Amino acid sequence: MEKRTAQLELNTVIAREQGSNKNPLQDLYVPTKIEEFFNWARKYSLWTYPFVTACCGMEFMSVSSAHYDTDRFGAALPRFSPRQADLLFVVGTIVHKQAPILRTVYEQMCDPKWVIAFGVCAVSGGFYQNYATVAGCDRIIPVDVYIPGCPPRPEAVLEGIIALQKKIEQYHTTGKRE
Amino acid sequence: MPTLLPELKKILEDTYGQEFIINEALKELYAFVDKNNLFSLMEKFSTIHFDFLMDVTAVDYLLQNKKPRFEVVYHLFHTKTYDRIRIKVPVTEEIPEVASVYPIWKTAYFLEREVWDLYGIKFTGHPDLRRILLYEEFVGFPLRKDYYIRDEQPLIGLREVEANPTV
Repeated sequence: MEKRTAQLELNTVIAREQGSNKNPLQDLYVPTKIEEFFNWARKYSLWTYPFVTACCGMEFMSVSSAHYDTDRFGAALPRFSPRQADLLFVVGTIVHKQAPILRTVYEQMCDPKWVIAFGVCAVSGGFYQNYATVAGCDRIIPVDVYIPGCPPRPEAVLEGIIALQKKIEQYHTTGKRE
Repeated sequence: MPTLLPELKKILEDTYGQEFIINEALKELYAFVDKNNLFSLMEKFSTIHFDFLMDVTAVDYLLQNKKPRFEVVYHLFHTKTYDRIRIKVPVTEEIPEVASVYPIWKTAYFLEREVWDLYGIKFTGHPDLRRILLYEEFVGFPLRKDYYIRDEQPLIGLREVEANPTV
């Protein structure tokens, strides 16, 4: 606060002495829209809920650990209740027996919420094309970002998080999805 | 401990009047057994310390046109001599039933439920024979060769997925 006041005084002095009509408040505030401000805040505060069912979970642990440091993107903090989370990671194969559970978890999350399909089984069923497996978790819940790979490299996951952040920037506070 | 198998083979061939084959490489005794003899034979194995039922599984020979259609396969292991026994029991399509070995090895509880779940072979004497991997609403037995592999039976209504050409 003191720093801002000092800057304001300095700007005022400069404006008076140079005789310019520069607004003294110019360097102190960033004008924005409320929607953009909310989206900016949301994209750096992703609280994730890992729905881990299969071997991709190992890779998810690798991504979540310090070496890849998803906290740089504000997406490191896992919540183990879907009611506290706004990003659902579907990690691994989803079978038909589990489909009602995944939908319940998704419905328990509060809006605004996003979903990342992690690994090729969650994206499309992968090489499981049979009676047991759901061919892609997007047949149960809407998915925002698909990360392919069996399992995906951590770099691919980070790129997926960045892609989701770009998508969140476009999010409308009215709840309408683009 | 030295292997039991040659001695065992001699006794069994005298008792049941059929061939038991020894695979030296696997240290394994191998035979097709009638399903009426199965339980008494398995009891005999358990009394000579074949104490580990490694697996119960089944094979469907529909596409090979083999009669009878199914075979139930038992794998036993001797934890002292490391001998193995593999018993195959032919089971017909009309009466897919075989005696449960749950009274002898308790691990048969899960293994037999799995065979019932996927092949529809009944184990008479099993205390609680119901599906273990699939859900109760599932109709049919998916590892039978006449079950179409992609025939899904979803529990909830699935979404229609649209391909988005712009992304």
